[in-house]
Amino acid sequence: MLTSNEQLRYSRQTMLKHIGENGQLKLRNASVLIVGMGGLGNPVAMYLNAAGVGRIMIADGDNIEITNLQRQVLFGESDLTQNKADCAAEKLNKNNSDTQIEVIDEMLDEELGQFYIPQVDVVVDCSDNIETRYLVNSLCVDHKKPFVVGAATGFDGQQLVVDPRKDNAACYQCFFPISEKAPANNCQTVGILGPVLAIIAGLQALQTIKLLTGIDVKYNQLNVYDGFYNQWQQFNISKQVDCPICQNN
Amino acid sequence: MKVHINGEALILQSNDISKKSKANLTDVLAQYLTSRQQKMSFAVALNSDFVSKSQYSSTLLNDGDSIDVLFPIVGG
Repeated sequence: MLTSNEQLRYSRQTMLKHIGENGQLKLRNASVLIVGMGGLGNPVAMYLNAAGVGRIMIADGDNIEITNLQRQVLFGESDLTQNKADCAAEKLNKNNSDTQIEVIDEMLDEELGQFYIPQVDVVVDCSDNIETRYLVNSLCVDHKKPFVVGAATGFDGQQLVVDPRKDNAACYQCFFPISEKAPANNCQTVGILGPVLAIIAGLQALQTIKLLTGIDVKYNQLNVYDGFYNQWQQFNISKQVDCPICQNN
Repeated sequence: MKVHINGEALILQSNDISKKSKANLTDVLAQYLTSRQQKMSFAVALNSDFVSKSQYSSTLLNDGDSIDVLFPIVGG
């Protein structure tokens, strides 16, 4: 049961018939791993923490730099040079004492992923590089953990849910196979506007809350956002029988 | 034949399709993507539905089809 304080605190979301007190209890009992505590990870963590997700693990080995402050809204001038996961945990704890924040102050690698991913209900990919995304995708498929992907540069964003619990669910590598040449652009090379990250991160947080509370989430759908022309496009994707990640699962 | 690729009209050159009655996705990608881009990871959707790489050459196009070539966005 929720405490009277929790009933009041979360009342604006528990009054939604698809959430209710039962949904709030599911959030309280849930655990999430957020990979990357930059421009996407900041708002994802803030929303999940505010919504009362019981255990939030955040992984990032980077330190805060002045060029981060334009978009990484948890951090301020006095936080420069601190580890991002450490600093974020401190702020998130101040915002909600109900939740437990666990810091992984390193870049997620295979060993850390193998240890942490089996412990959580949902993994949220807020990383800034394709190698980490392929790694997390592969580990999530192996461990049958739902995986909420988000990415943004410039005015553009992509978001999708990989749900390996479903037999027909495509993984990230089903439609973006590993290639000879790595993608050339990232936030450092082409720039990024903060609100584009907020839009993609908001969708990631929403999909995560839906997954945790048992609301149906569309998988096999790539959502593509064009913030310059203010357009969304949805693409239907499908599991590939020859995908090296999916074929053994 | 005219198709749309990433929102832009593309007239398929006749020498690409002269020996066939219809162009396929391989023809269009050869015309649209640079050789460097062809070595990168990308996904192709025809009228919003993803087409797997193994089906590019057997996927025939019709006039007015809408093709999207998507590259993975990396950044967060």
